[in-house]
Amino acid sequence: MRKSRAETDIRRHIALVENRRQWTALAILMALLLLLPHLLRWIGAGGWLMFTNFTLLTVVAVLGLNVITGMCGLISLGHSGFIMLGSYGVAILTVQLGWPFWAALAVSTPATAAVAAIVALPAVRLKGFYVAVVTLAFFFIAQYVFKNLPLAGSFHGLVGVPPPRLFGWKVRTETAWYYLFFAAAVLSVLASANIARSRFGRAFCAVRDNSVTAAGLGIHVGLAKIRAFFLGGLFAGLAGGLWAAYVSVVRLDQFSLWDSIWYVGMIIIGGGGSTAGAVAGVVLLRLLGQILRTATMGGWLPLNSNAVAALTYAVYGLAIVLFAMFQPHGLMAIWGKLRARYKSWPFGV
Amino acid sequence: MTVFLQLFLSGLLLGGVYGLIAMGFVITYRSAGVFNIAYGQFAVLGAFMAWVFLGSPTAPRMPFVPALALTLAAAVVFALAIERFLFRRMIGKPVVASFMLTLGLLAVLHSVVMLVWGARTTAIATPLPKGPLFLGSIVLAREYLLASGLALLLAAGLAAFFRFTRLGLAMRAAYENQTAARCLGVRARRVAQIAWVLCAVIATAGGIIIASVIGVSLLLSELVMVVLAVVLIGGMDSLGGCLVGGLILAVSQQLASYYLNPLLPGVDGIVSMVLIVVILLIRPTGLFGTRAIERV
Repeated sequence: MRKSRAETDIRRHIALVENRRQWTALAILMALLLLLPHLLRWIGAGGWLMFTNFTLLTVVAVLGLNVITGMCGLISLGHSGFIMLGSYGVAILTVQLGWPFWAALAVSTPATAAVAAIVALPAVRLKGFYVAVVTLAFFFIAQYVFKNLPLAGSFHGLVGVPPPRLFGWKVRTETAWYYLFFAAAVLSVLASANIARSRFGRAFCAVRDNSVTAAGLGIHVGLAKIRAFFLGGLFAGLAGGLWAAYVSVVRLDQFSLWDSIWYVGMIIIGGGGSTAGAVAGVVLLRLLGQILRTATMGGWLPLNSNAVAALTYAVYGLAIVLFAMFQPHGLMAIWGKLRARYKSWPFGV
Repeated sequence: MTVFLQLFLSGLLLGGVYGLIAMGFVITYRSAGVFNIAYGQFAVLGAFMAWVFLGSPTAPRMPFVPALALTLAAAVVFALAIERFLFRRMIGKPVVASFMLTLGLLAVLHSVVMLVWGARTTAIATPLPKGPLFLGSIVLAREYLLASGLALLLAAGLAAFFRFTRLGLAMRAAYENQTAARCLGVRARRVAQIAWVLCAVIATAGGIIIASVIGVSLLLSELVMVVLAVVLIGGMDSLGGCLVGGLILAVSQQLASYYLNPLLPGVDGIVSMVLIVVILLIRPTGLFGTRAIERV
């Protein structure tokens, strides 16, 4: 809640959109985003729609990680595991038990959140790296469970997750998926912004900054951590379930530790703790990866697919290293500095 | 009974190796305060460098001693470069930032290995004694005998270094309170350099030892999971704890692979993970770690 002016009214202080100027900017942005598929087709870049859809899903998932890591300061290397739970949940319920998609999603998402809350239990007493290691351990244990669960199709995975039906239509075209995912992303952004300005969000930030003082202020640190993981698991479960429907095949090798690391990287690069920062980090890293892929596939850089993957890792890793070294508060800090410089021009910051 | 003894002894040997490798991790944590999650990649890089100089058993390149010397020299250079260019500016920054840096380093090193050497697995030509050793009806791996001996020697050497030499004392002081140590004349840079050099050298040695059994490949980076388990069980700042943690982990793995695998196939792979969760629930600072008292 970085406001430009001090407010005496609490409702105006925590308002998400402050004034008419911001409302118009928001309206223009929403109009652009709603028309995006048609705009992309109009300029001949229709192929980017699939990339946009995956990016929207990543936004939902990383907003969840933002609650855990950005707001509450608990580094979670197991977020890919939560997404895996959401995907497998939906896949098992629809493919093995024949449930309709929305029912499966409605059950699988809270179930993932519940598991996330359980994973939070050891983390209640722990700090920093220890939490990261616990989430890492959870990820491998979850992988093991799904590998050996015959219900989950073990190695071959589950095929044939049905697409969701909206008011009688099956979601089949990329544009339809876009609108579905866009709705999910808007919901997630709203939810995340609301969490940040709520009592829970302030508690998370207090726990992140100094948990001893937070306890002294009457915040139950353990409950806050469990809540943070629960909320993060909700987002991840939603993203995973939607993803399962999108690609309709859920297999173990689609979820790797590297994805968890990239998600944490997106949070760092974007700027820890803020919704806008998380979205910025996701968009930046996904764009980088896509540019690399099109550059190598398009023949500018003659590399085979293994080398493309390696190069992507190198670029992502380098981005994380540079931000960790020079700007640990991410893009949002850079943006904040630019804004401050603009506001105080021609004087210094 | 012999089965149990077999499992226990082979676990003991493997535990020595695990303990040896984990010591490198503990040294960076103790001296530089860095939770180096890229440690597995150090081992992979070291093993591949050794392979470059040593060659495989079917196509050996250099005799062992000069090749090893070259590899260790390369490890030293690598460690000094990392300290100088990456971690020196992180002094004074929050510890989380260093952890993020090692995360990024993990990705970069992994990709470097992938780009240079690809996803191959090759054998490495070391003169470590190979093959099984028969003690009655118990079979032990000869490679690990030497490695365990080396681990004990190294542990003793490091303990002596930290306790009896001035430099060791300086490093311990720098770990406890860097500012106060610098006021007393301890050169923080030198301490950091030594810590990273030790880390890289131990990682390389460990990588070569394990590679002589399972071959040189990117799989060696899985070592970091083992190291994490060992370090958490033993205590993040205890060198002796590494050995104990290594023993506990290795013996548990052997017992699990014999007794539990028929019930739950492949469970010995996640024994380290389960042990991590258990130890973090019961005793987060590890068996021999120092308890941190948190102050506001």
